[in-house]
Amino acid sequence: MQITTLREGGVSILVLFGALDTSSAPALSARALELCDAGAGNVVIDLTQAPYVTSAGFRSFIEINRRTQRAGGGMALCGLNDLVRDLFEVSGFLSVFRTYPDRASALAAMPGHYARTIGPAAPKQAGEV
Amino acid sequence: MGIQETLVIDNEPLELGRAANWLDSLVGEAAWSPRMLATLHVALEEALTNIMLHAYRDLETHKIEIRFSADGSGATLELLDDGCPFDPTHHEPPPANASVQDRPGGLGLAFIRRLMDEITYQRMDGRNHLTLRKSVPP
Repeated sequence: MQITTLREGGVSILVLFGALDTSSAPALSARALELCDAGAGNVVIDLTQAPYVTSAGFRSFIEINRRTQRAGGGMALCGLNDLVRDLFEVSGFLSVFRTYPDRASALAAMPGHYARTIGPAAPKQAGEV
Repeated sequence: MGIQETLVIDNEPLELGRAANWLDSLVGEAAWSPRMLATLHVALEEALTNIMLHAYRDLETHKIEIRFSADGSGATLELLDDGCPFDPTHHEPPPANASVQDRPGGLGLAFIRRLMDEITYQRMDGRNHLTLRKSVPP
């Protein structure tokens, strides 16, 4: 499983590529911990490319949720497929963790998020349409 | 399409990756949905993890046998271990009002129950024999 870290509007986005299970959960926890230690404690975990999450992954979510809150931030999740959503539901975590259908809605809900502003367009050169 | 394969692993969490890779190598020809594959992966990891955590009272290395069989109607995972008698079908799930912190202990079993269509357990010849079955829609 690969983790890509993006930064957008004051929020860190951890994009997972592959399953979140016993083998890969430690890497996710470690990456989130680094972010908290670096003062970047608003974290969105993007599961769009994660085919499944085992109980080990849920233990990571619990830990990351706790650490980000302690760091004055928070955690949200997005991109849950049907199976992953079922597991959130059966575990009771659907009502405990903040989950969103996509990255945009997760970002919009993060308290630390600020929208990027679009500045005035550059003046056109002669001949440009 | 008929598949029948066996893998033997040690009761060691590092072996979970090897078991997952083995499962991937078997299901490639089955033309199942991604959800079916993911379901089997979750069930396998949770069942193996429960064995590794609960079946043994010593620090010795034990062997866990995994048998996978599949045909057009679905897939069956059988797990055999020589640990203490451990019947997950009679294991009580955590109470509904347990705190979030308490719940992770019973999560694996809750997932298996949610995902698999049949779960059966037998104690035979000094081994736990757990059978998990998932049917595919016709």
